[in-house]
Amino acid sequence: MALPRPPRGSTRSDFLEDDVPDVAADPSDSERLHAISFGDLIDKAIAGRTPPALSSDERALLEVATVLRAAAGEVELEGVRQDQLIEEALDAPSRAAADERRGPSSVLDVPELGARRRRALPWLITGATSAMAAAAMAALWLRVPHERLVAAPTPTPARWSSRPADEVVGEIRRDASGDAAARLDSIYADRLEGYREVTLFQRGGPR
Amino acid sequence: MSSHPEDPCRGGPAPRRWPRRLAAAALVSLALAAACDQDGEPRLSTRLAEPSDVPAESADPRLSEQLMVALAQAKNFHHRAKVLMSDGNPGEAQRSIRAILSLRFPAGAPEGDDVRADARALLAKLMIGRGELDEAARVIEEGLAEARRDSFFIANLYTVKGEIQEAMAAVAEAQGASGHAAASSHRREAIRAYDASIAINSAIQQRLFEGATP
Repeated sequence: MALPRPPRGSTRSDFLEDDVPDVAADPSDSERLHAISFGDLIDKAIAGRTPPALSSDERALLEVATVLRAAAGEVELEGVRQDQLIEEALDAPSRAAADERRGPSSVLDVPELGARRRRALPWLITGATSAMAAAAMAALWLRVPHERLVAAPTPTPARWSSRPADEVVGEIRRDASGDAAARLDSIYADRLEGYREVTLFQRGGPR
Repeated sequence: MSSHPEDPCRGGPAPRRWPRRLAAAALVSLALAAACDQDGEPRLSTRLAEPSDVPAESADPRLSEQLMVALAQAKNFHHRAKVLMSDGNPGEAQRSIRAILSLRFPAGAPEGDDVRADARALLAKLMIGRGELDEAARVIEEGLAEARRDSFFIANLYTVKGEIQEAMAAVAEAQGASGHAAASSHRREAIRAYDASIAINSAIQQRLFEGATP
């Protein structure tokens, strides 16, 4: 169906600079031939097979035709290009946040940053934090209040001492004079409570 | 520009100054901390009593493991005697109670005196039940002779002594007219023992009441 294109050297290649033909006049054979050839060229361009060499007139017409087609909304990007654009749009917020954190300029961004400096940077950070921690510990140690006794120690509780068991058993009635086992149970329970305090809760641990 | 010694983006001597700066920062922090603590007088506080404040050589020595072990052993002997008595074996029960008298309590521990006095009272009562009145009176007299202070346990010994004297009076009375005088004597002795018990109990009650009153 495609007709042969006019030869490159023909004068028809400059038809854009010719006079405007009469609208009412019938198209000439050469005009028909050129229209058919240009239509074929547009088909190839849409199919992605644009000829590598074109005359300036044909390229100009082809660009106008492409713009008109795109303006009509009939252009659809290729799948790869669509994916690329979608990914760029999705990554835009994270890139913006990263740029904000990094700030306008940083020593880290300087391409000339030496490898030795990069290796030393973690150690510098670690050293700085360790020094601060040591200073904090020293401050806590130095701030231990110096205890000064302003009053006599509280009286030592009697329950920590060995002592008579009278207050534990009370007066022994005559009908209970032989119930020594029950009285000893009471004494033992009372002394065990004090003994636990003495051994378990004193400063420095059990003795 | 690239050869400037303080250029942080280049090599050179600048990185070697970081350790010195860190050390200086640490020293400044220490100085500030020490300065904050130099606020004058030391803080005032009252130290609470610790169990270690009870001197071992005081009149009431600290509760010790030796004391707790002796008390636990006495408990076991008492319960063993109880089982033996319920099993109808008063002789073995008496031997179990006598074992309490030979337990080693810490020197001067008041609990040891009390436990031994109570064991003697129980032993004497067991002997009364078996009719061994003279032996029971001897056990009580030994207990009273060992007493270094008055206590409810010593008062109980006097109570048991009174019971022994009552039992002796009954025995003497059973002998007829020849035993009448002896029975009267035992009854008077019983009354004296009960009076002693009452007097000791009253004194200790008064002492404890005054000690408990602020």
